[in-house]
Amino acid sequence: MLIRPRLDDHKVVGFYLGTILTGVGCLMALPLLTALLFREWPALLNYLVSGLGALGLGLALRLLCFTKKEIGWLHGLTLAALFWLAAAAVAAWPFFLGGNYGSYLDSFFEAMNALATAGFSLARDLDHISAADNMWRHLLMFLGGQGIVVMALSFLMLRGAGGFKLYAGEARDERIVPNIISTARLILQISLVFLAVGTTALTLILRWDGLSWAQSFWQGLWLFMSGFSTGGFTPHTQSILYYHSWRLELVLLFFMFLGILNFRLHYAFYTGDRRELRRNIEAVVLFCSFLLAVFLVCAGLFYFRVYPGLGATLRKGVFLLGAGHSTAGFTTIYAGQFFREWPQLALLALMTAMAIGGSACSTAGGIKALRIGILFKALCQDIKRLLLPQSAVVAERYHHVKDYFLDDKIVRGAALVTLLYLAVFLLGALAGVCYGYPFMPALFESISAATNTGLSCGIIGPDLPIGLKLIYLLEIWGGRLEFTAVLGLLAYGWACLKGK
Amino acid sequence: MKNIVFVLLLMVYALAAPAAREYSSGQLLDLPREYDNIPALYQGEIIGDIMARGENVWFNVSDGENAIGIFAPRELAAEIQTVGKYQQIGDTVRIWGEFNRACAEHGGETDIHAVRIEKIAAGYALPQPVSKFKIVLSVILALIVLILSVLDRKIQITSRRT
Repeated sequence: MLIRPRLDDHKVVGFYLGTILTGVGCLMALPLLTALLFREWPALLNYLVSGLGALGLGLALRLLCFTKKEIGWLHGLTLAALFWLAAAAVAAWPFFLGGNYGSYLDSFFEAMNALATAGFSLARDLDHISAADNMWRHLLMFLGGQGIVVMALSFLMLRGAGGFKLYAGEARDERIVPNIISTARLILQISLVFLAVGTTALTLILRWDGLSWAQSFWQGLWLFMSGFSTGGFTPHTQSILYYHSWRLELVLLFFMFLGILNFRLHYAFYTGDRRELRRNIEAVVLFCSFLLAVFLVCAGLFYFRVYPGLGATLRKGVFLLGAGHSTAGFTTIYAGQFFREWPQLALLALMTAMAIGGSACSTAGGIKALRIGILFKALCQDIKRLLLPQSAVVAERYHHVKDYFLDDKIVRGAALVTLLYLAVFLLGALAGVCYGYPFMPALFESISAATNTGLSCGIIGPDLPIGLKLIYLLEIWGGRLEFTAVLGLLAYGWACLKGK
Repeated sequence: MKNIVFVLLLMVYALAAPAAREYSSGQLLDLPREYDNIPALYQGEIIGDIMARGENVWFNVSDGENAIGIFAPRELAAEIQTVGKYQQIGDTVRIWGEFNRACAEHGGETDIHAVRIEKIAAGYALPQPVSKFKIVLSVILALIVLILSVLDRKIQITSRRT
């Protein structure tokens, strides 16, 4: 029997939503300080009003919904889904007040893209936005990459034993260490160490490439936040093309690859288990799929002479494929050039790489390498069953930090999420077709949105019809949560309506 | 000798340059193969940074639709003083040069190799209007947040005791 959530259940949801909103309000102190540093007075006021507004709303919700009830599984899923919506809704306020976006929906789209590390932007004039806005866009992306729940568990110390339920709701069910709060803090620590190293490296490269020290630091910081989170925002409309630097592209490629690796793999590597990198199913799948996709992209580009010579072909092909596969979505070509200049072979390889995405417990999106590996192993197992005598017992194993036996439950879970992704890719593409776009570009944009890649072939822009904005928003939000939490939210809503 | 030949080539280009047709970024990027390796005149606002690379510089010029990377000898860019950024409009320049769909010299980038740059309008700072309404709103919100945070703190302490 379906049980209708009681007032206390709503209070649990409201209370934790309020806690997250107070967190978002406090975070606005960082762009506020940036505005102060750059003497951007209108932007400073926008962040002051928005930050205080978010704090006020969050505290009011905490007071109204105060309860001692613990988080259950349905609360965890509902909250994870609502966290992202509520955080994006509030994070959009300073964008809207800044006047660089056509509407509140555009500002919300920007904030959701930042948090979900998608990287599409609807800013009307990105080259003239404030440093504070840039700080906020990239900070949201960095925090979103690690996960809102991870941040909440690290900083806000959410009460009780509900932490894991929230953590799992955010499409992360892997613990690096047994304690979930320690796992969250470890993820944050790994990211902060990389933030320091990465920002230094990028600052030096940008300085070498002719930017002033100050601009090298700020843009280095923002690019790292965006690259490691596999987000793809940049402070300029031309994305990485703005910098005209192969050195920068090479280093960003390295950071994007760090971003797509599972945090458990990072941890195993740093604790001295170097063999894990060669044995881990995700690392193997990522290595193979990247090599194959690079070969296909570069072969296509070279055969059709899209770029002059092998050097240029490799530079463009490897970087864009890396940006697509890692779901970072940085670009070094203009959006329209994908379908005007790239051959179908290269585009198909790029779209497949975007669909696969990165590792499970990482900052990347997509179907995830672990699921592809599991499905491949399941296929091998079935083929073996066909070839061997009926009485033979076929047991397939895979290595992911430790050895696992492949059972039907694991395969079903992987197949279900993969099917959901494929269905969403297709539905998003059909929506694009309904709005008059050709099928292939619509499919490209749909895959890019659902996998939180952010590479665009030119459809998504400030002039995008409202209906499509909403559809892509749903894809980005659902894709980030791997649909589980969205289904949990729907179940919560259904229980409210039909439960007894 | 090499320098003399370079300067002579530059002069020949510069004399021939004004004959180039003016194109918008939309035209150049929509049909890049058609305009590949042809002399082009392009006009727009300088945005972001002037990036020095040895004897040359890179900068980006936006005509409002797209921005295109410009590669030019350092002395050609000497006139540029203001670049576009927050609350600042950059110098508007007219650029004569060769448009490359996929530049062989720069790893396949779409760029313009400038042979002449003319500043047609100086950049300027925009006023930073401070909204009085937002100041008043901030004060009111700060008071509300203060009261709510005291209440929240009280509830948390009471709840811990019980």
